[in-house]
Amino acid sequence: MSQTNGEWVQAIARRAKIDSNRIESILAAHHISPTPVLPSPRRLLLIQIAFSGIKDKVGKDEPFSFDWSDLNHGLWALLSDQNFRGKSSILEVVHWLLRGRPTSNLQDDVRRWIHKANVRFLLDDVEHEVSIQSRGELRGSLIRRGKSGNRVALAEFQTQDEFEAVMDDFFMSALSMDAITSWQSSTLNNDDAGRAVSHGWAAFSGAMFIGTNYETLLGDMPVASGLNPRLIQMYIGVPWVSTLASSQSALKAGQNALEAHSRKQAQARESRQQRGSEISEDLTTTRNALAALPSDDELRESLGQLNSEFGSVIRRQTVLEKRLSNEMQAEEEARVLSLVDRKELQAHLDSMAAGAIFRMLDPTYCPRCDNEISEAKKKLEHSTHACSVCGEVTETDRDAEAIKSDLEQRVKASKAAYDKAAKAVGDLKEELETSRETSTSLRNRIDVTTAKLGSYQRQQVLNREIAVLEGRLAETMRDTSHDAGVDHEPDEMNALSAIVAETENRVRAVRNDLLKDVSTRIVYYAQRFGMHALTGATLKANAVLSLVKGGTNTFYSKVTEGEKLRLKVATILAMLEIGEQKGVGRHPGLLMIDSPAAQEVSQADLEALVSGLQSVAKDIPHCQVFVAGRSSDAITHHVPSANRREAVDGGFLW
Amino acid sequence: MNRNPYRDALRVLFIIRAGGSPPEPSMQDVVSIFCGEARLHAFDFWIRNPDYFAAELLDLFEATRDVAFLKAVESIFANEEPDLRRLPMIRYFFGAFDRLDDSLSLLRSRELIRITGVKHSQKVQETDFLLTDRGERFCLTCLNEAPPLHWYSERAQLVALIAGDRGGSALKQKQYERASYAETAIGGIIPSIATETAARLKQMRMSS
Repeated sequence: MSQTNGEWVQAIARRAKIDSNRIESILAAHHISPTPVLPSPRRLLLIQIAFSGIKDKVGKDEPFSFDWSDLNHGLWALLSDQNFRGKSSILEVVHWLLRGRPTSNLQDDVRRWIHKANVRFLLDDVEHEVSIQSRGELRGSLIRRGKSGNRVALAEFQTQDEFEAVMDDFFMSALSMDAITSWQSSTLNNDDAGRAVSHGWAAFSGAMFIGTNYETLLGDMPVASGLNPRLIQMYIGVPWVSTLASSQSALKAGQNALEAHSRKQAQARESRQQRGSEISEDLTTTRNALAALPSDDELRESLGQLNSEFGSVIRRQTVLEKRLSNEMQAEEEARVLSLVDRKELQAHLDSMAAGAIFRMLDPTYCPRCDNEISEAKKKLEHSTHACSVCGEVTETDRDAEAIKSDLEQRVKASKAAYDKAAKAVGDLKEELETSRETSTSLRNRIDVTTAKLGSYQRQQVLNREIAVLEGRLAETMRDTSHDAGVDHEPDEMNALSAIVAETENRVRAVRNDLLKDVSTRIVYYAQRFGMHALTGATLKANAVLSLVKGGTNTFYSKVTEGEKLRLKVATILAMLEIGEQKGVGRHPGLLMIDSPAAQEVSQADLEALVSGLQSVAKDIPHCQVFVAGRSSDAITHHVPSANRREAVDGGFLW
Repeated sequence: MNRNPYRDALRVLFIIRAGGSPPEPSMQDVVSIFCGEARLHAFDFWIRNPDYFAAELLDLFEATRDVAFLKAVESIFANEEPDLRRLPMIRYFFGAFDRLDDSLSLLRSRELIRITGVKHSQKVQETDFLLTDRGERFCLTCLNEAPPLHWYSERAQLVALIAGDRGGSALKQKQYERASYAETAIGGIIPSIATETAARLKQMRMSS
């Protein structure tokens, strides 16, 4: 990078407070190149205009051909004494062939009539020829002729679009023009505030043609294209202009992208917050559910305790059962013993009673022989206690009482033993019952706790859900403002602003002086063209021409059509002149002006206009000016007949 | 268990008294006549085996739904009679005479009863037991002087009531069947059916 360029980058770096390496990478990223010095201008000179075809007028076809060769520098004129005699069409054919696409000014029938056309021109000193066949599908070629006359085909084209592309490539590079990028606003939708439009040869070529549309000061593109200010560059080449244009475009694109992005971001933020609060709600619900689940550790601890209690209760229960079994056996034994004793006592009591009763009776008869028992045997029984029947010793009540007392003691003892055993059994059964209730209750608690342990699965599921929700929440709430989608690094807009500012400084430094000089010459020429009331003009960089006319401030857009033509030509002449004087002239030299007389221009003024053109053409040796108009002395006076094509007596130029 | 001849004799005497009916025509010194030796044995079986008698009472309750039978059974179990009053018999002794012979001898020697036979075609077909006036007075003395012996009189009267008009062989047949059924379940001696009968009682009390 040259010293100038290095100084420019440093200035930007200082202004933006960004490292110069970073500035250079931003410049590269946006394809912004420095243009401190303009390449030397190239000169274009028409040497031949030729076209032919058939006029398919009503009833008869009429072949025609037009050929105007040996053209050179200086002022040239296309004249007819009546309108609609083909003057404008000749200029339009030239425009068509140089531009690669006809303008809307070329009438449709003329376009249809022309079957063949070719234009030869010198670019600096090298001859080129554009020739087309336009009958049916357009096709043609661009060739270069070497010094020795050999033809070098530079390009061939088969369609209108190819033709335009070929001419654009050729002239943009041949004239060392940088495509002008400008920002075109769009009102179509909010997301796209506009777009960068690159203007090439089709736009620049407008600087060589002054048609009959005077809406714009320069060129023939509508004002809305934003192109007109840039066309000044075609006449007076201010360094840095294309750099400024592309950096402004980049800045504007960046700003729009940022605006669109911030709008989108605001929407996204809103929906993110909405989504975030939904997720937060879910998260709270899930966390509460998890909190409601007891922790596994607590469960296991409590389960361990319960199991230990249960074990000790069961061990105690086993001991009790064993004791109960023993006590029940003892109780049964005591019961049987007691029963036997009571039964014996009962029997004894019965027997005692029965015996006592029976002893009240003395046997009367022998049960064996039924003989009456004798008194002697009865007396013997009383004295010996020997039975009066069988002689055996009879039992006394004294014995029976002793046995009874003994039996009663036994009944009492065995009853006490039975009662004691029964009570022990009762107590044990009660204790065992309590113990069983305890163990059942423990068993239940163990079951319940174990079942809760099963909730471990549920816990896992909830934990997983929470993790997923937290992830989603984090993702949702993440600020995406620095995400991809916006190509601009935080420092980039700052850098672009600095680039625009620094470049603008450099452009202004040169251009303001130039425009001042141009403005002075505009007044000069316009006055010569008859606008005597014009006392001041200021051409701004934005191609707005403000005027002082009759002591009143006004603008180009506010004056009459005739005045516009004069101002237009005056502006172009002034720019050509100053460009030439200051060594910054960029204009190829070819200028074609259509029908000045069509406007309200007096003979004297027209003469002045043409004279002005002639003087400029004289002052600028590489200038070649074509004027198309009604035949008049004003023109013929200044244009030698060799430089004229003229249709007289209502005839046609072709 | 000591067997006392006086007690056995008194039991038999109360059976004869409860199961007898006045003689027709009336006889000198005779209060009532108890007909049939088998019948005497059947009565004795029920008195010696209160569990079997309770089972019979439960049968009657089932047949008649008369709560008095149920109450009687309840009383039998409440007083532990199947345990305290049971005088078990070995099966082949079932229906034996020897013990009753001793008791009858004792009663006869005191002129409390007389034993006769009704002769059909020159052969004794049925043995009857006559309760004498002396026997009747002895019973009354017994009831006055020896309260422990009231049970025998009362039970004999209840048995007589239950036996009704049934003859000795009919009664014994029923007792024999019940004993055989119980015996198949257990084997050996004539078993106690106290447990089953108590269970039946409990069930009936609950359902009634």
